[in-house]
Amino acid sequence: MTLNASARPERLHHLAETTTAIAEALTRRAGHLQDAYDAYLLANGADWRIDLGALDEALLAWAETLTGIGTFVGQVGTAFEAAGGSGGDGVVSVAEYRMLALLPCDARVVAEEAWGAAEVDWGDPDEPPAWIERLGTTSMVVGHLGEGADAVEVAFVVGTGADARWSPATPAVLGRFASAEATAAFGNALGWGAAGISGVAAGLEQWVADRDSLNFTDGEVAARAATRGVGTGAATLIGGAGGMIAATSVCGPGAPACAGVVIIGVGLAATVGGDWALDQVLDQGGPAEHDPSLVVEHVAGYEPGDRPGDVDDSTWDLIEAVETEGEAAGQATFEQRNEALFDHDIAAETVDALDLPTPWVERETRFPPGWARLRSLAGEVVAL
Amino acid sequence: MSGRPWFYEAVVSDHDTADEALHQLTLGSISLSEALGLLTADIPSVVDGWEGMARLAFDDQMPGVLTAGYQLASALLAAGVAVTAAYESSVLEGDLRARLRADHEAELAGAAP
Repeated sequence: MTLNASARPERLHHLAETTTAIAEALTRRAGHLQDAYDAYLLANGADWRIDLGALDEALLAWAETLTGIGTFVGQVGTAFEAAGGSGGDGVVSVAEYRMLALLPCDARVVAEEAWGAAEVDWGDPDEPPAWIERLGTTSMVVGHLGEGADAVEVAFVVGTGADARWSPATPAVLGRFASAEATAAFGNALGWGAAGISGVAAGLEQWVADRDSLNFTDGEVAARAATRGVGTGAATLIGGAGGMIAATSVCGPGAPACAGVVIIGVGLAATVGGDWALDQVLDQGGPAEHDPSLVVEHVAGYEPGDRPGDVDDSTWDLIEAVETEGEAAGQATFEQRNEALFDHDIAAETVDALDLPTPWVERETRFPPGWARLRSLAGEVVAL
Repeated sequence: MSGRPWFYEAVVSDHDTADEALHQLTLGSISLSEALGLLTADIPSVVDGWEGMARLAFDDQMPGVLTAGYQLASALLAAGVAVTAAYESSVLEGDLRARLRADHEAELAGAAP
């Protein structure tokens, strides 16, 4: 008995073209990100910047993987045509062994290894299946603003809904179309490797190492842990599995219970961005057929130097929301780290711990700036 | 302990470069989301009528690639927040240290004979 295989080769080629165009656009975007990071790196002190170096590489790694799977799909389309299909938009049916024999060796191995795998429900263009919807609305990244001992209490959660949680499938997520280099690059960014917990680990290590030292006051210990954590909090803060592991272990499963959680609707980006792209690009040709140059233009998005008026309102909405969240997080982190200074009751231990100059304390005692009361260094309430 | 107090250590940060990094991270996330939206709209048409082992290989791998894309888009946004938070934190920390330095120097001046 001969098994048959079928496909619409033209649509397979369309997908291959689209993935190539997407990869080109994302490569351009990664270049802009790299340029911005280089400038950021130079102008911000090591203790006050975030390591973003893995992210542009991860973007390139994802684009490379997409190119790989797109190339495979294109090769399958060519094999269907070469096996005797019509090559038109209609469904072409050929003997599977003939189609496989016409594939390049590496692509044939990939196809043969899939024996026994299950078909996936991809829904239809207007109504994606629930599992794809969930990808857009519940994917979650937890990271830490590396503030040493405080890091465990500041987590960033990206996602929406009660289902937002870490997927244990993350480490293998790129699959076999990723090269070893791409897998490593993606792993660095999403942090399932050692880099993932480096930020929290570094901050905590600094704190643990310093806290028993007689060389530092408590204030300096906190400051050193905080700055060390920010400086090395890279992959953890960027998010990913490692950050999530740390957050989950400290804050409990489903990290959203942590204090200082910031939730950003990444689904908004997927929905708004996706709809916008589809409106611009899909209105032409046959099914899944796009002008590659249009795909590049729309996926690459805005270039440095574009006029503000060129930027879509929905994009500004998203950027402003991210900025607002960042400002709130920065304020909260600072206040958390310096909680004693914002308390209504500043204790003698705080004065000692933070090395507060005596006249500063005395001045605040005479002119309390919003504090209800202060204590003297002896612990007595000296102002009400 | 010798040397100057901890609040004499400078806080080095720059608004413009932090802001540009934030914008590029956010735009990167949006670009990726555009790509994901395009792919998820196209794939149903592409797999229509596609049967055989090559289709199974595609189905075996593509969901993971999409998942990775969504996670990366999330990570880019989270990094944007982190950049802003680090900058905001640096400004606040700088203000605190400046205030402590000024008061400390006033204390030293008052203590001088």
